[in-house]
Amino acid sequence: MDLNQLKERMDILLASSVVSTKAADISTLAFMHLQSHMKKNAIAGAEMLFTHLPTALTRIEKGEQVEAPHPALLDEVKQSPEASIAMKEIDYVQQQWKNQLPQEEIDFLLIHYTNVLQINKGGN
Amino acid sequence: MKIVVGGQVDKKEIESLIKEIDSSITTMVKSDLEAAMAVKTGQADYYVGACHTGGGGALAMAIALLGKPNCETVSMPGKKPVEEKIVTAVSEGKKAFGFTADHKETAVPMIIKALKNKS
Repeated sequence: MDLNQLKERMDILLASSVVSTKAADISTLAFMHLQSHMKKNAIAGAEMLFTHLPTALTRIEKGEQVEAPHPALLDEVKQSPEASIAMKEIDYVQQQWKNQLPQEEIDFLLIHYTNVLQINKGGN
Repeated sequence: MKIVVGGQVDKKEIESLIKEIDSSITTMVKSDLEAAMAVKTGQADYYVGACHTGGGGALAMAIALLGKPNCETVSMPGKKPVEEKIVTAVSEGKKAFGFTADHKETAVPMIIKALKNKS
């Protein structure tokens, strides 16, 4: 997925109010930040993360909560070599959000970011 | 009956689960966007999809293109599928069903059973 495809996706989600403007804007910035880190225009397998991210931020805005992901899944992800880079990307999202994200949402984002980083491994 | 598998993860596994239940069901595997469009344009009767949280990558595009009243979040982390709720959603005419990937073995049979009982 490249930036144009990301923006098309955000436009569709925004047009039907599935995500908020703030969530879509921050997700676009987060995509560009990841592009910059990877030194890539197109990020393979990014659709899941960049659909999850704006819906998660919108959910947080509305005060909706999710339960934490399965501990075994999270433990596996945390042991990944990409987990520390994933956390830096999540920190960037939090800086843009200007607030601490709920731990459960951070955990899901860690799974998604790590997955995308693994898919694109070796491309830097 | 034509079912399109959208969502984000385990698409082939979900298609296989549908086929195991009823091989006469026509299945297609598409991206979340294409899958939602397939239902919108009548190429498919129903949409199913999975992601890690059930309502995010699994259903976001379906909600955007088909409208929230046509979509049902069947399961979320820590909230297993409930057959009665699926039956109610199907009877209300809902077309798209999202669930978490770890619930697919439970969710898919419940959805297919409810859809077959309706048709």
